[in-house]
Amino acid sequence: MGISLTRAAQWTMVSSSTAKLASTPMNESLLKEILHFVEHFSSQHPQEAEHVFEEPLQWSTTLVPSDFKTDYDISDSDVQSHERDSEGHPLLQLSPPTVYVRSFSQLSKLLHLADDKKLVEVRACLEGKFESNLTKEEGLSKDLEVKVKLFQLFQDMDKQILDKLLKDISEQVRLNPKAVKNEVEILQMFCGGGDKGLLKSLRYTSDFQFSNGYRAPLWRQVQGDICYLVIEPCDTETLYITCSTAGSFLNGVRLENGYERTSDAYEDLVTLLKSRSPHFADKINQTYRVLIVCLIKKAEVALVYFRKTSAGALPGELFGESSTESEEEEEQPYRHPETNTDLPSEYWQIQKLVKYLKDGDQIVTVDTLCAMMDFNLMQESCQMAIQDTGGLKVLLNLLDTDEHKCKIGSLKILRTISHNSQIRRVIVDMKGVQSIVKILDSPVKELKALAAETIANVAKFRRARRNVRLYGGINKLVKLLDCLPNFASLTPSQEEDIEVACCGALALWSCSRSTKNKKAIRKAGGIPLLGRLLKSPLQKMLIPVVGTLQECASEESYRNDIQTLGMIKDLVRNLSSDNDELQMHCASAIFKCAEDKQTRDLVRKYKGLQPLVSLLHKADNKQLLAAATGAIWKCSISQENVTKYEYLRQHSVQGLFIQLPIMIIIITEEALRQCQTSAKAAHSLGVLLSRKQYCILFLSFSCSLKVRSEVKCYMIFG
Amino acid sequence: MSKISAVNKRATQTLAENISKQVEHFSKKEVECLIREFNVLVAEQNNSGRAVHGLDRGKFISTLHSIFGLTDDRMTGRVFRTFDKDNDSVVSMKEWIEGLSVFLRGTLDEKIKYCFTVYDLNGDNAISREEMLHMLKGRLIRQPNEEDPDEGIKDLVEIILKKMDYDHDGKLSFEDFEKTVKDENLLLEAFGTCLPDFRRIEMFEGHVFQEQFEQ
Repeated sequence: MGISLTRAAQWTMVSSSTAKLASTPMNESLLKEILHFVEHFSSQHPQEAEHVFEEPLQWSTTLVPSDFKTDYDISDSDVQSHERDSEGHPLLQLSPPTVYVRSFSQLSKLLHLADDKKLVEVRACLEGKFESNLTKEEGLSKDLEVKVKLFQLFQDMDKQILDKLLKDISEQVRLNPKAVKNEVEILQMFCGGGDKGLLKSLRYTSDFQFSNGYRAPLWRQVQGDICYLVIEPCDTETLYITCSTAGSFLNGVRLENGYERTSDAYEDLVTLLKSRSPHFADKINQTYRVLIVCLIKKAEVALVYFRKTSAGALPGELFGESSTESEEEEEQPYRHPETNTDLPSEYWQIQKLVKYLKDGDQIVTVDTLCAMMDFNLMQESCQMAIQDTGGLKVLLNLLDTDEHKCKIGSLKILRTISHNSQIRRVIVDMKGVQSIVKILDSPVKELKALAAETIANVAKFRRARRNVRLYGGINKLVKLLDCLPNFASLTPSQEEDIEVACCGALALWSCSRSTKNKKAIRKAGGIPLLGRLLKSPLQKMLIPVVGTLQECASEESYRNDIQTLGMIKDLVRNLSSDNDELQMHCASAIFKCAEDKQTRDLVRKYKGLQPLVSLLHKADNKQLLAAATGAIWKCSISQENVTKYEYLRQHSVQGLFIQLPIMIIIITEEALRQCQTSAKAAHSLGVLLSRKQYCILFLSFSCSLKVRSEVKCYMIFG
Repeated sequence: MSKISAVNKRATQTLAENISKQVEHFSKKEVECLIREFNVLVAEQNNSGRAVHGLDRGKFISTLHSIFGLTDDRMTGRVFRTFDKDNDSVVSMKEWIEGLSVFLRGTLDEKIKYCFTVYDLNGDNAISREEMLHMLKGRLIRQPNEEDPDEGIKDLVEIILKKMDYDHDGKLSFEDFEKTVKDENLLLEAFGTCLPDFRRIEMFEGHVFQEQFEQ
């Protein structure tokens, strides 16, 4: 009881020494639980119920002497129970308005007498004075046994109550500042404009926002208040509203206690307003569709898009990463060289160095390249300076010479400046890809690695990737993966080979975004080599390898190979790595491969389901969340996996599920179509989107939202 | 003849054994091969009438040209001076093998020490601005309308000095040089090519050490 009361109950401070239980739904729930417990205590645990407290429970009761019947000595001013303790003191004494109770059985009886005022009594009892009676050590051993048993019973009850509360909470409306902000922003868009608007005006009472998104003063935040609004509807009096974590309701601003709730709590503003303003209720039906679109854009969600093919839903891209050809890097028009004289000093220095590169011999060239590397080549001004002064051409020309130090120096620079999208394009224009690909054949390992790394940066758009393939680069890159390291003990030469393989994997990862390159990699024998490297313990190796695999896993042939070559096991293993990026790529790969039943079984067999669920805790990494939810969802196509999820939920270790901050909503085209025709469905969806802390949405979509599937909207892991 | 060559052979072997204990990176057999190669070169040199017990400057430099592809005249003289540790104007057999140990198989540290010695023209344990200018002069092609291409060299020397002079004393100490090269290996031969490239090394080793199988 102690824990429930101190932690879960919501208290308000009435004065400095007395506290009252606030009348919130949760407290009501809590009180009911406690009442239930106490009422049945006597019948369930008769022996313990007879135990006498050292100190009585005392509180201000609503009962009067006339309420008491048999078993009690009743006088005008006083009631005493017949039941007495070993010293003859009564176990219940009423001296209005205070009652003193010294056993559970008496408490039970009193509550029974209280009839419909039971809850009031329970509340008053809890607000009253009572000390822990059970920690005192004296007494007979029999007494002690009873005390221990009582203690255990209370602990159990505590746990039961908490469990129920948590269940209630998760089923209950939970608003949060973001959701409120979203709703307010959207509604504000539809304010004003006379009768055409939904409302006349809507504003916060406070301009100041705390860093947690709340606007209510701190002492009210503790009570769950998020913010206060003043809303003028078009057709009725001004509404003063509190948005709290338990819902939105009218407050008592006009009354004495401004914070008091004076209406029911509604799950969102729209519902509340609909109940108060007929004009609003009418108008909102027409505005639903716009509302949905706004909510979708504004809510913080990770969107996973599916692209439908004839074979069924296939994952296309993940949020933020462009995989197949669709989200292509836009080829912007070329930026022309600066014509003004207000150029930074680096420009002139670099121009000088480019001249030395052109006119110098091998020694001067190498020295100059090293000097150039000292500039911050990631800065756009330096990158543009190199291009504008003709430096790019010189650097590419150096790649065709026989001087390997010049080539190394040039590639070190090219590798860095090719982070600039325009420079990438100019490199391709100047046929630089051909020169770089040729260097992949060099016997010098450092050159191979640098060339591969440069390709990884340049091949970020379609034309570049095609060039790599056309000049035979895919085969050469795949060859770089062919190292046979014994990861336990590496010679220096093998370490160099690993470095080369890492760079090769990085390059293949970039190149694999083209479908033809995916096929070319497979044809060159890349998959078994990637599978071999997948066994490496090195993160810098694993990330590009898994990145490439998950990129290519959109091809069925890859999915087959990944499964038959035993790579699922390695992917599952790396789900538990401590690197977010690696975990995300593994989850994406599993997501794509779990299209196939055998893979789903393998994921379960290698105990991959639990790590996937654990990833859901990474609430701040949306890409990772999207990948993990995708994988979990795909795996749930197999019923055995769903059973396993249920098993994990029931036997959750350390509250694996209880602490999940997110709700995963899977909404399909069917559901969206319904939203277009049914305002109610649309509103429900809008509410769902706005009120959850994090939403992962799966939207099956095609351009025109035509219906293909029949799966309805359902929620898992709430 | 065979008696003499047998005696020679034994002498060589004993010599090789001694030297291989004192010089890094070569096995006894390999030192034997290097000795043989040395003898061949000396014989070629003495064919023209001289009788020197080592490689003189001319022969050594022509060897650098032909076998190791080092053609930069400013450097080859310095290489000779570096090989010739006792400064007697002749590269002895031991000096030859010690020098080749760095040439062919030197670790980065050994090469750094070697290059620094080559570049320290006056042997005062520092590479000065003047020395750098001397070594880099003329390495920029003169463009038409250009007055003095070495203006660019002066500028480049300042840039390099600024980059490499960690203790800010206007010249490069060994520590400055070492730190720079460890940070960026490309600057090992910043002032001139004084080491053979890997292809020449492969060719030389293949040719010379192959002979141990042919013997």
